[in-house]
Amino acid sequence: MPDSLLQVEDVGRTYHGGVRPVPALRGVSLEVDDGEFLALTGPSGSGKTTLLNILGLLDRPDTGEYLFRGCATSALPERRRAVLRGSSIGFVFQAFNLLADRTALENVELGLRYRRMSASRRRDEAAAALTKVGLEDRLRHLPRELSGGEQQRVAIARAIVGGRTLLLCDEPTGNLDSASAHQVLGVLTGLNDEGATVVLVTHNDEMARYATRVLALRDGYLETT
Amino acid sequence: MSDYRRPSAWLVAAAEAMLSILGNPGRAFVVSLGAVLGAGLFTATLGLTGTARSEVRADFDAFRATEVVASSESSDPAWVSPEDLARIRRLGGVVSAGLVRTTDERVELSTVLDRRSGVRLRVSGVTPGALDVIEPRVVEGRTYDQIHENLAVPVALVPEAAYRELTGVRPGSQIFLDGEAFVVIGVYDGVARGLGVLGTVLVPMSASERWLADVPAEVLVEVAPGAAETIAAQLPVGLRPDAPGLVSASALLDPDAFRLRIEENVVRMSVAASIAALTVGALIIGIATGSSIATRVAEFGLRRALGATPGDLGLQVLAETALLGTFGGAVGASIGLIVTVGVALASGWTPALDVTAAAASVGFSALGGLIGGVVPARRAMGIEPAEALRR
Ligand SMILES: Nc1ncnc2c1ncn2[C@@H]1O[C@H](COP(=O)(O)OP(=O)(O)OP(=O)(O)O)[C@@H](O)[C@H]1O
Ligand SMILES: [Mg+2]
Repeated sequence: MPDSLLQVEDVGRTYHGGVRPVPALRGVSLEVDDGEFLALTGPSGSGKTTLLNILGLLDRPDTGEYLFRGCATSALPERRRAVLRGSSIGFVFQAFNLLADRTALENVELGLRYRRMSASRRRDEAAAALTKVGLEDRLRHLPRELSGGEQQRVAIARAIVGGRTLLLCDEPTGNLDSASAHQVLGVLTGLNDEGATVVLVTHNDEMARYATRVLALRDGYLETT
Repeated sequence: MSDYRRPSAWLVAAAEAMLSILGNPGRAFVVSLGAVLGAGLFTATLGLTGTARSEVRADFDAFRATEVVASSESSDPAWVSPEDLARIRRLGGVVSAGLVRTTDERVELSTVLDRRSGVRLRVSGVTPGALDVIEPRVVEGRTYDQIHENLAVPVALVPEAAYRELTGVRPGSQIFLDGEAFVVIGVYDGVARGLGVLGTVLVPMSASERWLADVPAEVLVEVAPGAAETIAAQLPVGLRPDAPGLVSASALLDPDAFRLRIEENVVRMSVAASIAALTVGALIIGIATGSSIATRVAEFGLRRALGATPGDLGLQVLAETALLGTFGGAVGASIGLIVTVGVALASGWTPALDVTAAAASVGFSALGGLIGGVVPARRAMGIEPAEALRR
């Protein structure tokens, strides 16, 4: 049996920052196959972002194990995790998280910054990624010179640049009007058709309909459907 | 990706630091203002003191250059005659000339015959011609003249110190030098040339026989500016055409070491002040960068998501503060050099540009920035990416 791309095995994660511990995930198990388009829904505070951060190796589970391409990650040193993020994992955030003083092209180039590559190759790859999201004529624009939907497409280009094939999107349409939201989902669907694996966190059922599978979180548990 | 390799962390840090600074030049300017001030102060103080010092030296050269001294290797105290002196006074470029000799020992100066009630000073026999060279600054009374010299009149020009310490010493009063009565003709407090007689009691050469009969006199010559070397070369033959080898003449005096030492102290103090300013500048860079980390948490979180390690972020912060220090230092050093040139030109001096000081101040600022960056770098390394991206 071939391993899934992502395997989450009975993962728990409790935050200890506040007055009392907050259990954000309480034993979540799931698998995501290569090339899947998975939507994660659930009410606010149900643990969606926490789960996505664990999938993206930005956070570590307190209990359970998370396997990335069949490889247990809990014991991986930070440097290896950084390499995996830099090579394979792309993030898309609700707030776009573009650097305001850099052009679209430079923002996408940042996605290749922590990988050994010549400046010209980095430029070419970034331009290719922007072309893929339909922004080939916006390379020199600063974020403030772009619409919200265009900014989010720049962020998607940054997430896929250099051949990253896992896209983790946290409410990518939360700040967008409906038309731009559908356009962004169209782009994600296109990338999924080309082989990218997409995990989409969303409140919005309309957006969840783009996915091939929908999972719902509630109070740190996966709801069985 | 199997072909994934990490780049040189230093290169990435330097490139990203540069982009961050260029992306926000206003902030960079404000943050590096302290380094600008420190390096500017450092370069300007060293440049200006250097300029002033070479100016003092130039003044000193000009001072020396109007004075020539000739002495004799012969033990004959009468090695030069009034005719010899008259001959060199006719040389072109000679303004005045005369003879001077000073006791090695101090002599009792008192206002009463009781020798133990006075002060001890050295005595100089000075001809009126030499007085013209020395130009003592007379604060009371007057100087003596050729009549006094010719008649060996016991008159004395006393230094201001004796005048201050002994009541009863004033023009017209009687004093005793080693028990011999003299009349005070004037009081002086400085000389224009012939520094060697400063602080001694000046009496006519003919009245100094008692102490100085065995001492060969020196010839003091005041020359027109620029003529010193020429006159110095002509003096041996001019004074003693029969035996020029006996005479040695030079346009040189011992440098005023005391004045230079005071200057060194001033330089040392201003260097200390500029180093303090540089340190404060570095501190400001560190604190400003440290506080800017808080506003850039999301950016650092994003960089982690894109594959940066905590070390990458720490290096980037260090590179930013070091670059800010370098930029600030370079700007400050340039301003310091410009100020030096401006002040020098406005004062009609020749600017002495201290390029080493300018380079050193840039180096100090860079190093200061690096050190100031340590704390903010640690803060950046401690950022939790998941937390940072929630903001
Ligand atoms: N750093 C933290 N310290 C303490 N509690 C936290 C922290 N981060 C998240 N939580 C809590 O953990 C729970 C899950 O948070 P999470 O962000 O994963 O929810 P979410 O499903 O993404 O919510 P939303 O839809 O509002 O984004 C929430 O109750 C939240 O308040
Ligand atoms: Mg969330």
